[in-house]
Amino acid sequence: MHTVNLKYMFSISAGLPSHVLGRTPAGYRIDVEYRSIETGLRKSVSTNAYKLLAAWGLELGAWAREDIRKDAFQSDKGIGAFAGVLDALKGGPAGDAPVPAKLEDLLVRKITTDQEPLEALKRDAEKFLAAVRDFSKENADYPPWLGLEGHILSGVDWSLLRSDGVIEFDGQLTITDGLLNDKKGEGVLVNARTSGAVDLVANDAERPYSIEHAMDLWLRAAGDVPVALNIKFEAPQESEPWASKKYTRRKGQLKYVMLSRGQFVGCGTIKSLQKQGTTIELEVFQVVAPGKVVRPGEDDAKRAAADNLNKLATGKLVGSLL
Amino acid sequence: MIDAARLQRLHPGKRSTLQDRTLLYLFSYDVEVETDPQTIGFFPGGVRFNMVARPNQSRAYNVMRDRTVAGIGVPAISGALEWGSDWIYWREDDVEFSQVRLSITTDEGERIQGYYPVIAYLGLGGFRRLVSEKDKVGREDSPVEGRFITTPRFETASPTYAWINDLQCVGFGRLQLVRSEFRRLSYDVYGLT
Repeated sequence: MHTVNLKYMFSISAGLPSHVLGRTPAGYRIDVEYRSIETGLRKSVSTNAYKLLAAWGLELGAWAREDIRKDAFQSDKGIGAFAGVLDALKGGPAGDAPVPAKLEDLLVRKITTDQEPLEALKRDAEKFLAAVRDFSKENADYPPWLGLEGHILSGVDWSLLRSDGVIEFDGQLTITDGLLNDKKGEGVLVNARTSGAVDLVANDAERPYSIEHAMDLWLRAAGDVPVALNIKFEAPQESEPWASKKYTRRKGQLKYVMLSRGQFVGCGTIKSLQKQGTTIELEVFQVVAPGKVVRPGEDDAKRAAADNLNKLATGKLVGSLL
Repeated sequence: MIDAARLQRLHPGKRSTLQDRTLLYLFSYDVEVETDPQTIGFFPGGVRFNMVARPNQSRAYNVMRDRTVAGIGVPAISGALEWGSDWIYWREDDVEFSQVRLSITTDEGERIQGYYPVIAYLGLGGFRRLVSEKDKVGREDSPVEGRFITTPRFETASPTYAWINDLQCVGFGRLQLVRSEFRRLSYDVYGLT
């Protein structure tokens, strides 16, 4: 059986005001808007440092050199704290346990044993990511995945509520890592195309289903509705030297190249909140298929190496990368 | 000119006439475009950017000012283009591919949604000329005009305009470029009957 890995990329938190166009022969047409909502310091598009390290820590650790980590923490205590995080990622000092799905769980366990304050560890993790980010600005053509922080510049979804109580999403979002009112156009823009089907009447008491009942559930946003959406990204690539500034002006435009090179899903919940109305909370993951490309004619040694890399990706083998 | 009788003699048993088709004029709309597009940038094979219609400055109307659609007698469409967006991909081979979505609110407050793909030729060397912006295309006093054909479909919940749900439409579009930027799009929409 194949094991599919979901690697955390970033999170989206958005208001989801909707306008019902009405009932058409295909079902109810609903225009849904994705609207940036900012809560405190948290942006509408943000990255959870814990989850990012849990997903990418091994690769980041392999990528970032010891001197970067020292520069980042500038103290033995800081390095020690981060070493704890890396140990956690490796599955403990023995390094033989599988990589945990949730780094947070392991950190909590570590706190209970080492009395390490969670917030301090979090600060260290964020400091480390910032240092890698700074380093990659100058030293790498294609930086490793370091998350995405920004806003939803515009976003709409042309949803269709079918007669079987399933809502089909078909949306398009534009995300910026710049300011929400980015007059100078300095932010890097990424297009996201979303699609998926969500059963609004699952586990609902009413039988048989009616489209009006499903519509009522949507309008009243009764309860939390889990969603899983397919997402296809379009992120800017290397520009041509002859292109005008309009197409090349954004700094660090290659940061998100990885988004254009894989398959992604958004998993989360549509929630009904009294003050904010309907909102959506999504975590975006890269879907990593097991295995690695092996060309025809490649020998058994290469195939074995590819198998080992596959095991590493699925957390069964933790080498001495760190 | 196709000589149907000759074709029939040469290939007996094979069809030698084209299917009948008629274009029925439905309505027109003009779109004023925001001058600052959302530019994603270079993407494999070309350049991507999004264009948005300026709200409340774009209208749908009947060119003849008719109150009904001639030929089928249904109410003509007149109103404001409430919202419109175009996700554009200029390809290196001088062809534009884009996806348009728009929403019209009629004068009676009914809503009609439309969506269609666009394939348009940018002219020989058009991709490089537009993206480099070295030789800006079009001036304020003499915009450059491009023409293209689209295949829109419309959808509404309004009983008054329900007739449009069943039609495959054809849109004949004209685009005005000023200093290599989109300024105004005008469409005449016909139903294929």
